[in-house]
Amino acid sequence: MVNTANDRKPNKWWFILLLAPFIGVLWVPFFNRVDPQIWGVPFFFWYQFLWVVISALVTALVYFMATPQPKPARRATAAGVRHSRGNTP
Amino acid sequence: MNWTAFTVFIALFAVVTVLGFIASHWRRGDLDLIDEWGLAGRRLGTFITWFLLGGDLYTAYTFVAVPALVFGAGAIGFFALPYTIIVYPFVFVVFPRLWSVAQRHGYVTASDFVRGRFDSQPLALAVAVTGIFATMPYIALQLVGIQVVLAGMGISGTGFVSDMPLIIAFVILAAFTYTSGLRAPAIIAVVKDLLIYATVLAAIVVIPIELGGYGKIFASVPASKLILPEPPTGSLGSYSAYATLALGSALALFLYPHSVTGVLSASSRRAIMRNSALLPAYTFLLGLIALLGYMAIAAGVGDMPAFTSYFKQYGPNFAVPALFLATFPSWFVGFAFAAIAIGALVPASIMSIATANLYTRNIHRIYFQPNCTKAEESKVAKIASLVVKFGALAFILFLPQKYAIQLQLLGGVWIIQTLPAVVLGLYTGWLHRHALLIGWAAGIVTGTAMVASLGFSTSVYPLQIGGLTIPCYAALASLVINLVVTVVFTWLFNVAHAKSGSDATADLDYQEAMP
Repeated sequence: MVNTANDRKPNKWWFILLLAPFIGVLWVPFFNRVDPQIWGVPFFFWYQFLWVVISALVTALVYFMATPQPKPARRATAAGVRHSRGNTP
Repeated sequence: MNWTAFTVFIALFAVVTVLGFIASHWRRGDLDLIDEWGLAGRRLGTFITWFLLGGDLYTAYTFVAVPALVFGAGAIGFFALPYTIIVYPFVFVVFPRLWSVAQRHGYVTASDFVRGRFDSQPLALAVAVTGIFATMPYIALQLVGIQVVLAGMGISGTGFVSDMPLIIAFVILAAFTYTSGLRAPAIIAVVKDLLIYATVLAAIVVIPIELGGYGKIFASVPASKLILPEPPTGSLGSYSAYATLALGSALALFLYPHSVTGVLSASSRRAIMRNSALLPAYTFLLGLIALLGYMAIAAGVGDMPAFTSYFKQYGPNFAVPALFLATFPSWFVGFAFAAIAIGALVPASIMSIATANLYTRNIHRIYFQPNCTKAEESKVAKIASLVVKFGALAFILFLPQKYAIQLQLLGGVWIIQTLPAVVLGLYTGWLHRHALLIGWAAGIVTGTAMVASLGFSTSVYPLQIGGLTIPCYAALASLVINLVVTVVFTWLFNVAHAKSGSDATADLDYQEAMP
């Protein structure tokens, strides 16, 4: 099991991406405007709603790319295969 | 008195009460252990943690107060959105470390961790007391959420009889928290969310149809409330207020004891990481709820004669109940109001558990009963949770509501002062224990002074720096002072060779255990 953890050395540089939401929503002059509107919704609102989605996706991306993943699925399959083989005469 | 709404409300409340009591049987554990009662055995997976933290952080008060702020003050109320966006990248990076070290050393509270890391009794006490004082008014405010919806159904006025429904709701809350511990809010949070999501979806579809679409809603909002006002020359105006409120609130949120309890009850650090990507779903919901404030403006509920007396008593907090009453059929009003009231029970329960854990672990066990057994510890926590809740109830019944609101405002300023010890402590043991305590005191004093100088009406303090006025959230400004003082004194103590404590934790304790 030790080598599964070392399979892929996670790249910590992915964490830089997590700064993006901070820049995106804290620099107020950039988004404090009415236009362009979408379906009558001022930019101020849809821009920040958009960042809710982007921020969640970025966090998910960093989770998958930069943190070592245990691989329960593969382990389970391997064990399952071994088990069924063992039972076959 | 709106009987249809009230009947639906009571029925849903009854369902939740039953669930709260049978929760003690769910994933059964020995409730005589504080780990089981106060952290649900640290066994909550990604899914339940999502509901629990969602119910914990996005409280009923939030659901009433955020649209109320948008209704009354306009776009500034939308700071709740950037606030609950940036909190998750922060949580993703920092809080798995707290989970790991707590798991390894059996820590139940942030104060437990600080004591282990810095070997300082006074510092641990400071963290515990700050947590308790910051949370108490927050619990009281949850009651405001219940009070407002009860009033919306025609139960209001003055005197003991009109307070009865609130007292009954609270007795129920206290009883199931006592018997089931954290399992109760965990289970109820699932039901509460189904109600909240249904309510909000209905609201954002039905109300705009009645009002003629989103374009019309935004068009009817006065320009001064639609976006932030342009800052005057020589000031950063509402821009810095908006950004610092968002940043400061985000840094403070997970230092609250109820957030820490939510984090530590997760079954793995991965559950916390996954939730950092999943919890923004609630942020989206919160944004939609904030828009209800504009819908209330567009619907003109503020001018409806039927609601005049309520607005007089509850202020803008009555905006959302009024909007629902004006647009929904009675039975759905009952449904929506039940969602808000039950939404108040979940965080109130978790907050009282978290405060009880702090009192038991970091005050009672240390100062009053050093040799207490596990069972005694759990018993004290259960009783402490009752004391905390009835304290909050008395607060709301006997003192003007504005005190709770002002104290909650101060609570944010206070709790953020534990950041150097708790958050930086997760990364380094370099900061000196005495320096941390001095920095904490400096932050508490300056932060409180800032809010006091504004008459406790707002927490946005106008900093004057080189002729420029920078309106800044007092929590953030005082945190900077705290950090500077902490670093300077750490350096001084190190120069003077003051004895630093022995660190009970090791670097590896903060990382994921390798399989």
